[in-house]
Amino acid sequence: MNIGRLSTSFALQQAQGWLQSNQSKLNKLQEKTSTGQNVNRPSDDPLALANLLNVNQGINHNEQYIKNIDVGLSELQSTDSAVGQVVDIINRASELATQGANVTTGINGMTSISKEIDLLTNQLVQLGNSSINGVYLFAGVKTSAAPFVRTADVVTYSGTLSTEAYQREIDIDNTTTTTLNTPGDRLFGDSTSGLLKVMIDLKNNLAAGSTTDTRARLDELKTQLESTLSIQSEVGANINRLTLTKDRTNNSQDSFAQLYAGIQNVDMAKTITDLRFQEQIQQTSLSVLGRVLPKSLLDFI
Amino acid sequence: MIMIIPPSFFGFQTAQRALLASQAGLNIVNHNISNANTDGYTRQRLDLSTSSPLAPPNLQGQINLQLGQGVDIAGITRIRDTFLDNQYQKELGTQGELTKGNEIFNQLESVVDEPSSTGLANSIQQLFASVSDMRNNPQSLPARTAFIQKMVDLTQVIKNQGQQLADLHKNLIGTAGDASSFPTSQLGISITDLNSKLASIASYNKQINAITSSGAPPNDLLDKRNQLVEQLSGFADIDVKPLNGEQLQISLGGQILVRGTELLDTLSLTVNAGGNAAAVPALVTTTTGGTDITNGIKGGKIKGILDLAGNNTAIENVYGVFSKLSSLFENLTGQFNAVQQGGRDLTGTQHPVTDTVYGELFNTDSTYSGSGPKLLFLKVNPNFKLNPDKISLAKDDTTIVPSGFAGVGDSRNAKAFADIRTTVFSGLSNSTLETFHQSLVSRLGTDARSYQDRLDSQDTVITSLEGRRQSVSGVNLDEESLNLLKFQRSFEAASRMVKAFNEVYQTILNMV
Repeated sequence: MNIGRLSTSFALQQAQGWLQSNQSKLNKLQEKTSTGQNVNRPSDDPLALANLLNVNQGINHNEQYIKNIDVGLSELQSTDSAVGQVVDIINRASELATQGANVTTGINGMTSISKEIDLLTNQLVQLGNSSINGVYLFAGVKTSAAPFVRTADVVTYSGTLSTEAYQREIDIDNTTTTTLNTPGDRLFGDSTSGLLKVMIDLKNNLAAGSTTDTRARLDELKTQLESTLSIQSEVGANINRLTLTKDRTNNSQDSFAQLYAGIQNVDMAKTITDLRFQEQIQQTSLSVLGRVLPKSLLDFI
Repeated sequence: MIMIIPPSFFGFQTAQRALLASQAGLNIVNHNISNANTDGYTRQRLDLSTSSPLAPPNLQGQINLQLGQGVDIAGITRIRDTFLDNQYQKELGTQGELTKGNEIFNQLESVVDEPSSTGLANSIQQLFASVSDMRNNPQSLPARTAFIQKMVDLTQVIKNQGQQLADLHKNLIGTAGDASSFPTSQLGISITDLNSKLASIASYNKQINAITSSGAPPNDLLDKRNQLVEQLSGFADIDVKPLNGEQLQISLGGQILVRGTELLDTLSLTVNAGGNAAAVPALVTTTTGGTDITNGIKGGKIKGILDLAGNNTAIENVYGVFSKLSSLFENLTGQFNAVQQGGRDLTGTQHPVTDTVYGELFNTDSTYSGSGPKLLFLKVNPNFKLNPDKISLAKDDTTIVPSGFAGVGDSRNAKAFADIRTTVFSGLSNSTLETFHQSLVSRLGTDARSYQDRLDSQDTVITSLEGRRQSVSGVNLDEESLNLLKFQRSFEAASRMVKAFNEVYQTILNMV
């Protein structure tokens, strides 16, 4: 401002204004350095704020999806290990059946093999009732009760059937929902069909000493093995998919984090330089004011 | 040879006038220095002129020489540029409006509390995170309890913001429908202040009128009245018109309030009968038929309060933000209730709208009047705290399971809860809960920033005008010190003249 004549009180007033404006600039820089954030309130940068809220929402979504995937992975891994054990049991049963079908084994041998098959059947039922965190893995959505009950040669399955449209699901990204569970009837069957029927029949054939029937069961076991292996590879593929999705989500999380940091994180080097500079200005203006303002003609007359 | 014969004690008289003039000068310097820091003071200056000369006729009866008789005090002038005054006074209105607006925006921003880890955006995210956890594990009671806790947290955060906004609104204008609450609000206090200033101006006009008619310039009274006019401009964009005899006419929103010595009208607040009834009261003239001038006010602190309280719907105002938070929460709670009613709980039971115990996750307090924003009346249904199993996470799906219940692991209704996050609500300008809140916050930021920037530039305008005005009217102590020296020396010199003439007369007397 170019003013010829200056009023004394206005000069002081203006000096006060300059000091205040310096101080408020210092204050703003101080806020930035101590919070480490560029945007501390909406008006600091309305445009950046809109981006920030958006990115933040993305980060939050991703966090939740990663959490969901972890829940899914832990269940799928349990399923995978259970299916692996089922494969082992089928292999063992096939070995035993081959042995039992051999005419040299004799009726006594067949009886003892029959008992072992019985034990293996029990193991299968146990696997069918395996649970993590109180959730029965193979019960479909009826997760609170053990799905398989064996009474002598009758095994019932009370979980959700694989023919039903709905199984347990998790959300792994904005649009994708994936099925978690393998219905127990598909993997194990019951005493009227599937793996468990073959096992119970095999046990009875062996106990009855029929090598022909045992041999027929051996073929059925082979079919069961194939279908179990295909379930195992499905579960494996599912695990793979979740792992990949998790990796992808983590990557997008990284880029979100970078984006967030780019908007919100204070460039410390720059801000501290600004702060120093502002400090210098403040100090200089104080010392100049201190020299200029007290000067008055009254000192000299 | 021309001869002049002045009166005997002519020298004394001239010197005496000089002494008086110097003394007057000293007194004015004194007055200026004393008021160097007085707000609104205008420096005064002594106007001197030469006295009419002595013109004695010569022996032939002709006047061919004039003898100076010294100095006369012509007057005391107030040094003021009225053009600058008018400009300054006009800008004060805008400054008052922006200052108040900026102050209220600061409060609004601190209520909205974004970006932060404690704000509403975070609460909404947390709520949906807990929904996702339930979807992963629908039979888990801890996951359900966590969900209830997140509903409580969200309710607390949003109602707390709502309460703060309601308090702020009340502090600004009182309760819009209740006239008895107006006088204690900021608006009411400003109106009272404005009315008393109008009365003061009328009474100053009276005093000024009396003094002016006696012929003297009422310098200090003019300063004081000027100061009042400027304060008044800070309240509202008054229109000031000069009348004869240093009188002023003040009008606002087209209504004349003060005309010279008469106080024609004052302002008062009544319950608004118009469309903005819930947001602000109406500002009317008290005596002349109660004309509504609410929207005739274009500047000043009063405009700032009215705009930000809710009269200006083009910006995110206090009432607007409150209503928006309210519709956000109403839509959210409504949708959660609808989903709860559409599913089956952990035991396969349905909770339709007719179920007064578990039919709603959020219910409305019985004190709600039935109209207006519901925000402060909504709460989390306390029945769920003890019975989290009653939350419907399973789908009501009779086509798949004949019993009508798919089982505890069914989380399809939890998915419906989760989908609320991406649901577009027609009641929220066709946006989702989160984008609605985001756009609210970012619009608030934009508006607050625009007020801040405009205020900054207005402050610069005011400072520059004030500088120019002070350059004309303000007291400079160095200048006054010089004047002091000047008048002191002239007083001394005049005293010398008295002494010199005294000696001259003594010499003459001694000759006898």
